Amino acid sequence: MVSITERKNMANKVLTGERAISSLMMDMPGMVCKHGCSYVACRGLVLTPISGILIITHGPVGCSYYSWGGNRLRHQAANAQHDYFSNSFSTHMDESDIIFGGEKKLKQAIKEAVEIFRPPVIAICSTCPIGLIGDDVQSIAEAAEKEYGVKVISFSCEGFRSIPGYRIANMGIIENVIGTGQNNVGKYPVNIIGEFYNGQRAKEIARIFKHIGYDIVAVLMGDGNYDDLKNAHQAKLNLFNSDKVVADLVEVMQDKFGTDWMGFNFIGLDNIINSLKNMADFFGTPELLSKTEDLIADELAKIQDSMDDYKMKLKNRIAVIQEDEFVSRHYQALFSDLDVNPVMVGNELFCRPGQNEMSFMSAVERGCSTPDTKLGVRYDTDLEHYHINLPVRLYEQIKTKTTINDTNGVHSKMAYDSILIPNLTHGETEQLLNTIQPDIYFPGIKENFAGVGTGYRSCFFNADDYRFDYGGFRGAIHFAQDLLMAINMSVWQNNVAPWKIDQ
Amino acid sequence: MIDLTSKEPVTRQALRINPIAGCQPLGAMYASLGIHGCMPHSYGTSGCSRFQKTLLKRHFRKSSKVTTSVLKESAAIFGGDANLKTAIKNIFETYNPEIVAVHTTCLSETIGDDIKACLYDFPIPEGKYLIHANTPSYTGSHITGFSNMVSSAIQYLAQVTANPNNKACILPGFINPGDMKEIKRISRLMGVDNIMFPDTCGVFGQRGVERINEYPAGGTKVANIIDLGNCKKTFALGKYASEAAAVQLKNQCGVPFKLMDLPIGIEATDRFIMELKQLGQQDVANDLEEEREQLIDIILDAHSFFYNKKVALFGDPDIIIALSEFIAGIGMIPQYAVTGTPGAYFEDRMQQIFSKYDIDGIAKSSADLFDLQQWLKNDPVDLLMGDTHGKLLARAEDVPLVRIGFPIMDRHVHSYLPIVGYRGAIRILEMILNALMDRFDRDHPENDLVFI
Ligand code: SF4
Repeated sequence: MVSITERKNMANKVLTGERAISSLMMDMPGMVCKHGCSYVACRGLVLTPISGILIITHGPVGCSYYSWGGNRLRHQAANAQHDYFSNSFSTHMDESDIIFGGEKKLKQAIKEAVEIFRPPVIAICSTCPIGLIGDDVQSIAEAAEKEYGVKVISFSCEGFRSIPGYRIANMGIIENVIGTGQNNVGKYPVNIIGEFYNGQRAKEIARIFKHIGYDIVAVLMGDGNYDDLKNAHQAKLNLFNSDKVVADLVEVMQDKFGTDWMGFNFIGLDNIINSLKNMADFFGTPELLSKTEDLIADELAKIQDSMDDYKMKLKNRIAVIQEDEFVSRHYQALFSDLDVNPVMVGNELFCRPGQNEMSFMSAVERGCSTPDTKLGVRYDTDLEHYHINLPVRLYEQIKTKTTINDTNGVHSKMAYDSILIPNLTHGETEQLLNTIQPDIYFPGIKENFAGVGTGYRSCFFNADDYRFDYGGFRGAIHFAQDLLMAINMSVWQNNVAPWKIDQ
Repeated sequence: MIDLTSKEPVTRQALRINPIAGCQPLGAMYASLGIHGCMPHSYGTSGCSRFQKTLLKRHFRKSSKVTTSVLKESAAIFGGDANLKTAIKNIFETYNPEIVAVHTTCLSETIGDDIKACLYDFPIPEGKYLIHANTPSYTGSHITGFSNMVSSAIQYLAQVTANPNNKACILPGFINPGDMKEIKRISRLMGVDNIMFPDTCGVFGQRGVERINEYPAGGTKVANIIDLGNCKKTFALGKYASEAAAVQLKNQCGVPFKLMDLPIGIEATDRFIMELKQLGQQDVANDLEEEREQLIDIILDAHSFFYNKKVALFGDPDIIIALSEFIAGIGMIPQYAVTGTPGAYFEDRMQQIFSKYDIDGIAKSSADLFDLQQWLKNDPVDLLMGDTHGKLLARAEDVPLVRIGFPIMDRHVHSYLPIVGYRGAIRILEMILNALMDRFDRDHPENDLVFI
C-alpha cells in the first residue's frame, strides 16, 4: 500500500519517464474519491438501464435504496408491464441472515418477486457481505430458474471485488442473454454500447441512424431492453460510445459472434461526422455513403446560423475546466466547435475506451504511449491530478507573469495545440487562474478537485446533474446557450456583498 | 412503469420493495459532517461512501468531502486493518482535519475487524482526534447509524472538567440545518445558552469552494463536544436519533436528560418551550408568543381547507411521529404512518396519537412504500407527506405530495428553511394548504373557479 507522498513521487516518475506502474493504482485508502464499486457499476451502469429485468439486490437494504432510480435515464420501456426501473427490490438482510446465511431469504424473495410481478427475467446482484458469508447464489438462481420457468441470472458483484462491475454484468449478459433470440434484423444492423444517462441523446442517435438506414438491434448501457438484447448477436457492428472502459465486451463479442466494433462519439461536430463516416465506410455501400453525406450536410446547414451567432458571442472567451478526463474531453470537443479557448485543469487518469485496464497498463509499462483504439478517435492521456493543459497562445501570454516550480514535465501536445504542465500545486493553479482570468470556470465535481479560484463565474454541468444533453448536431448549441446563461446570469452582479467590496 | 403494485394485499417475508430507509453509514456520515473540521471515513469499499455522499449531495445540493478505505478482496480475506491505518495516515497528511470519524459498513462488520484494537496505538498527530462508531448496515437504518455516531463521539470526547458551563446540550437528531438553526434561535430567545451536537448549519449551505485541507465554518467544535460533559441538562429531540447519545452522556458525565419529540407542530413546540422556560428561568420571549399566535390564527382561518383530510406519512420515525401529532391536532387524519426504521416504539407512540384523536389509523415500522401503496389502493388518502421517493406513489395514485423529511432530491431551498418551532409549523401548513388548494383548483370545473 502506498502513502500519498510515495504516490506523488511515483507519479512524478511516470511523468518524467522513470515509470513505476504501481503509481497508477486508483485505490488509495483515505483519499477523497468518487469511485463506486463493483455493485454500483454492475447494477447502475449496465443492469438498471435494461428494461424488463427485475433486479433483486441480495444484501442489506442500503445498496438497493441508494441505487434506486439513481441513474437518471429517461428511458422508454418497450413493455411497461415489465419495466421495473422505478422500483427497488432487495432481500433486506438483517443480523440473523448475516450469521446464519441469507440463502433462505433469497429463495423466498425470488418466490415473492415471481408471484407478485411475474417478470420475464430476474437478476440477482450480491452486495458486500454475500461473498463473505458464502451464500451459494449461483445454484439458488439455477434452482429458481427451473422451478418457476423464469430466467434468473446471478451477478457476483460484491463491492470489494476488483473486477469492474460492468465487466461482471456485461459478461453475464453475453453468456446468458445475447444469442438467445432469433429476430430478423435489417440490412445494416448495429448495436450501441454507450454510457449515456440521458434519453435525449438516445433519441437523437436513433433519429439519425434511422434516417441513414441503420437498424439498431440492441442498446447496452443506454436506453435498452431485454428482448432486443437477445438478438444483439445478429448485429454486424458494435458501436461503443462509452465514457469509461467497456471492458472486453466488444472483444468478447467479436470472438463469440464475430461482431466487429468501432469507437463512436456523439459529442462535438467533428466527432459525430467522423463517427458517421467511419460507420458508412465500414458497411461500404454507396447508398449508405451518400445518405451519410447528405445527412451531414443537411444537419450542418440547419445549425449553421445559430452556430455563427453563438460563435460570435463566445469568440475568444476563456473557460477553465476542472473535471475528470472524460467530461473534459466532451467539453473540449464542444468548445472547439464554438471557438472558445478551453483550459483544462486537473484531468485524471482513467483507462482508454476499448482497452481494458490491464492491456493499457502493460502498454504503459512497456514504454509505449497509450494504445490507439481501433478506428476510433485517439485520446490523450494525462497522468497526474493537478496539471494544467492550456492553449500555447495563452501560455505565451501568461508565461512571463507567473512562475511554475516544476517545469520538467512541461511539454506541448501538438494535437491540441496545447501545453501540459504536470503536478500543479493548488497554489500554482490558483495563481494561474488569476493570471488567465477566465470568463467562466467549471469547478467540476468539487470533492474530486478541491477548488481554487472562488469568485470566478462558475457553473456545473456534471454527469450527475445533467438535465440537458450536449450530444448530437445541436449539442454545441445547447451547450452555448447554457454557457451564455452561466456567464450572463444576473446574480453575478450581486455576487459580493456591497460592504465587502474594497472602495 | 411506476404502478406495478397490486390492489390485492400480498404478504411478504423476504422481498423488500421500495424501501423508506437507508443503511447506518449514511446517518453516521451526516452526523460526522456536523462536527467542525471533521473528515468522515467510511471503513468499507468505495461504493458505500459514494452512494451516501451522492444522496447527501442530492438533498443538500452541496457536496462534502468523505474518505473511504477502499477495501478489496485481500481485506475480505485478511482483514482491513492495514487499509484503515494507511487511510488514516493519508487523511491526516493530506486533508489535515481536526478530527477523523470512522464508521464501519456491512463489509467491515462482517469481516469482524476490531477497530478499537486496530487504532489503539495509532500515532494520532498532536492535538488531533480520532473517533469511531460501529454502524453495521444490517441492523437498524440510517437513523440508527446517526444515533450510533453521536453516541460514540460523546463517548470518545465528552468530559467533566472543573467548571459547569451552565449550558444546555441539544441533540437535534437527523434534521436539516435550517431546523437546527431554528432550534438554536428558539433556545437563545428563551435565554438558554446551548451546545448543539451535531450541528450542520454552515456545513452545506456555504458559498465558495474550499481548498483541499480546509473545512466549512459550521459544525460543532471538538472543544464544545468535550464541554458537553459540563452541561446542565440534555434535550434529546427524537427518541430514535437522540436517546442513545443522551443516555451515554448521562452515564458518562452525569448530565440529566429530557427525552422529547422533535418540536414540530404546536404541542411539541409548546413542550419544548416549557422545558426551556424552566431551565432558563425566563419568560417566553415576545417573538415566540407572536409566532404562536400567528400559527393559531392561520389554523383558524384555513381550517375548512384541511379539516378531516386524510394523510399518509412516510419517512424517518422521529419526524413522522411529531408531524402526525401536529396534523392530528389540527383536525387532519394521519391515516397511515410508516417508517423504514425498525423499532416497536414507533407503532406504540403512533397508537397513542391515534387513540388520543380517535383515529382508526395504521402505523408500521420496518415498512416499505409497497405496503403503503397497497393500502392506498384500497383506502385512498387526500395527501401524501414524505420524501422524494414518494413522488412515484403520488403520480401513480394521483395524490398531491408535500415534500418533507430526507432525502428531498427534486426540489430546492428546503434544507435552509425550518419545519420545527412555530415558524416551522407555519411553513408546514403553507405547504399542506398549497398542495391541497392547488389540487382543489385543478379538480374544479371551469365555471366554479373563483379567486377567493
Ligand atoms: S454495502 Fe452495506 S454499508 Fe455499503 S451501502 Fe450497501 S448496505 Fe450500506
